[in-house]
Amino acid sequence: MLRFLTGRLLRAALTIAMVVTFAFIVLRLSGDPAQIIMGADAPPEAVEAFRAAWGLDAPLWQQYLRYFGAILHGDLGRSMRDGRDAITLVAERIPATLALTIPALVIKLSIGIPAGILAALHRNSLLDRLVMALAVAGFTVPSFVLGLLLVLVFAVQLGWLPSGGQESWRHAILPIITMGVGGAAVLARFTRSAMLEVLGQSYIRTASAKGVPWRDVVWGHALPNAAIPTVTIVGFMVGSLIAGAVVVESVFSWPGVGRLLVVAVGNRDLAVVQCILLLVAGTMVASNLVVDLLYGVLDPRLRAGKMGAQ
Amino acid sequence: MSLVQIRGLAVSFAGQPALRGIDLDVAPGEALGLVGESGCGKSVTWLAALGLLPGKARVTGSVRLGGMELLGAKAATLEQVRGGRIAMIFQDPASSLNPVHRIGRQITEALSLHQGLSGAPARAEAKRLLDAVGMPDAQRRLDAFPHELSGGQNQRVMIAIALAGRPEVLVADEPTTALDVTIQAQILDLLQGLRREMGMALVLITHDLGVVSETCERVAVMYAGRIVEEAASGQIFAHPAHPYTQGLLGALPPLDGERRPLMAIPGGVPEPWAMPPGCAFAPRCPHARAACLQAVPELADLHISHRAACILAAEAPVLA
Amino acid sequence: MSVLLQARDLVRRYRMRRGIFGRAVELRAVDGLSLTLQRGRTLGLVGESGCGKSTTGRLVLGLEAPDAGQVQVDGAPMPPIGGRAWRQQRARMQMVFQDPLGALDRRLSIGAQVEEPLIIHGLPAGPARVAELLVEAGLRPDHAQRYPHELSGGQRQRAVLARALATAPELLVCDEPISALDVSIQAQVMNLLMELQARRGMAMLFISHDLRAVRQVSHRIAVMYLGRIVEEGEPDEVLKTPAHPYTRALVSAIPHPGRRGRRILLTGDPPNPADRPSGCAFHPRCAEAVARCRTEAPVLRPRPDGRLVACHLAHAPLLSQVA
Repeated sequence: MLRFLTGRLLRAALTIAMVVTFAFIVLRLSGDPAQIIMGADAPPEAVEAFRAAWGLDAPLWQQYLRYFGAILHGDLGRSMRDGRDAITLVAERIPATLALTIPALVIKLSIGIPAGILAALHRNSLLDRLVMALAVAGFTVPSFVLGLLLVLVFAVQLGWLPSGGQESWRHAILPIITMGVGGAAVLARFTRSAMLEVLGQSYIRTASAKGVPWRDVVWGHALPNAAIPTVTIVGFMVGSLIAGAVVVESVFSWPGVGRLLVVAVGNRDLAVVQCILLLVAGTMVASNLVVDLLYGVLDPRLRAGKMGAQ
Repeated sequence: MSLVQIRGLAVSFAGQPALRGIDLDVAPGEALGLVGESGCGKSVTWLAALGLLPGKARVTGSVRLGGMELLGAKAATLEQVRGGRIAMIFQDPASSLNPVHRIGRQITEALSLHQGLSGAPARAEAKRLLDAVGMPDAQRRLDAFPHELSGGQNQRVMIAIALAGRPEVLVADEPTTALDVTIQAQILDLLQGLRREMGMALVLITHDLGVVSETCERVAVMYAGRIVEEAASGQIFAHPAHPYTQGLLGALPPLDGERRPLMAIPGGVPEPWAMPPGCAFAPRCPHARAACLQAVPELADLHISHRAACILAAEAPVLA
Repeated sequence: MSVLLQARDLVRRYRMRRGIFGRAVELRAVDGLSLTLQRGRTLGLVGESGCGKSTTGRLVLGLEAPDAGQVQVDGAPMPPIGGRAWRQQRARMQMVFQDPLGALDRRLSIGAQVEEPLIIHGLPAGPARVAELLVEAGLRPDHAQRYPHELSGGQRQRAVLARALATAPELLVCDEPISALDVSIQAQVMNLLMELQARRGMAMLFISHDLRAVRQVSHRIAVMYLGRIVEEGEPDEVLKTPAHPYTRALVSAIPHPGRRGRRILLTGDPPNPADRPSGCAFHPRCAEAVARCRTEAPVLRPRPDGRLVACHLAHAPLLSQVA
């Protein structure tokens, strides 16, 4: 157990280091932050001074080492734009993002999973076809298209809800629906196929042959098995709670972490981008770890055999 | 007086017939063998009888259990019968048990359904059943998961679950096909002993004539969705009347004597969508003649309790 | 009759892990096994699941390298896996598996798959040669245009055989070639194997759990238990007077019509190769085991009548008189 955990943590650290390095290379090669932040017509001396102040005049590898060393000491740097700590800047935005992503996750789970189970239980019925048609529509339409469509109908045409901003809870409704629908569709399809796979297994037939009523076969025998593959995708959704709203936040001008990321990339504001990436990678890695541990809980075959086979 | 009476049972999947009308009786306490190759309908017969086929299957005919019609019966009635009066075990014991539930729970579930037992008494009874099926270290195995047991042990668990409802009939669908030879011997021995002890009927579904000959008193041979021969076990192995039964016996390698080529049945089993007219076996039959292609031969009495569906066998009844 | 292949003291170990948190354990799939294959003759290898019979087949073919011991073909050691000489050797020795559908490529026609080894090994190819091979395996020339899923199980196994025959192999290793087939088809394939051997004179290693089938096709049989051969001899003699207690149980367990009577029931399951019992690996299940069996592993050695047996009791004068 201990060996398993240390192995996983080491791999997680390696993943995060690679993400950080990748971001550094891409951001540094794609534009000069000094020029971008100071503006195109800033005097060369001012730009030069900015470079010196932020250490941008050192060779690239030195900048990289300095940056990496700082991270190891827990210093995530400051925003080049307003000089505040990157971590404070990001932390300020997290509640706004969670205000969207958590309700959206609840929608995904509470619609997607039951819809998938129902579709599987009534395979090839009208209900199944309806659910699957909606699911295909739900995840083939990109979220920015769906978001704009909802704005067009509910904000522009009907005038029921605001089209953007963060003044009241009513502003959150459209972005939450936009995110929830796509995820619910993915989850419905996934749950359906996991459930169909399980329903075709021999032990389901055994349960029926024992005289277990169908309801109990589904609840007691099929669902615990279908939950095993479904946990993977739910884990992924939980892992993207913080970063999964980039597009939707942009469409609805919602001041969350996603919007901040878009702005920071535009400015080549390395410290802020890195801070967000670290946060994203961290939550992903953590949720993956939780998923793996959950596998062990849900599937006894993955625990070490106490009794020993044979 | 038969316990189970099957009349004109037919099953089709999406218009393709899998079972073409069979009549079969099971007497209380008897051991009946149902023999045939893959796709002959031997398993489908019992899945249909218990309403365990998927919804798209079309089932017609009649299956009566002690006078009660099972086809089209209410779900609650069928749930009482399944596991309670007719229990069934399957070929691959490893995949027939739920991988996420402990053995004990899978047995006590059947006990609570059919004996109304729960809690400590159910657990004690489950342990007793595991002892009865010869499971070593039964108390500890109650808390084991199926993947922690061997194939033979899992099949013992399946049998324990089947016994939990004290059934009148145990249908064993290829119970030893996935097991090793020495384990097969153990399981057949166990089934035989339990049948005698509990007075239940045993229906053994298998492709292996050897398994049937040692375990069953009566044998029905199936081919392409029909019963083609039915007789007492001793009779059918000594004087097989249907050319298919003769072919199956001839195809078995002998245990002694000179080694010569086996009398293999030529060709293969016809596909459901390309069924020959008349006798389904005619294209592979060494004795086939024009009349065989005309009409499906009826299952006719040749001898006391020996029936075969072959016009040649009917013409020259066996002398036993 | 001459020796084609000789395997001496083969050992093959695997490491396996149980569960995510499990510790790796070593298991010996094959544990000091020797066998000899004669030209034109069939050796039947019998045993239950996990006894190492399939691993033995792969070692003999050189598809896997043994951890110890040696395989010699025509007196020369097996060339290293993957090399040029090894690839040439492969043409001389072919394998037939249990699952013919898995052994065939679903996207290629039967004809293309039978022709492939001809092209690879630079032999005369073309539709006429393919048709010849198909007919030899009991198929029709027009089966060349078919795809695997269009054939029945028996026909697929014939197609696999036709492909194996293409390079005119001197050795055919058949690993459970009939156990996935229906009874009536099993007989067809066994007959075909014997016909092919009579015509082409190749050696065969016939691996199966079915003693009846093994007796039918083999000139000599070897019984395996936990990675070792425990008995070896002429098929009829082994079946009539099995000398090893395990063979006796195996023979008595054969289900056969008209054969009723006393069965030797072994207690327990086949043991785990990762947890090999001390002494004679069979002793925990053996009704006749004595103290010596628990501590000292018996060696496979000939009895006066020529039978090879690895059992302390089978060599004891008193018991051999009784047997």
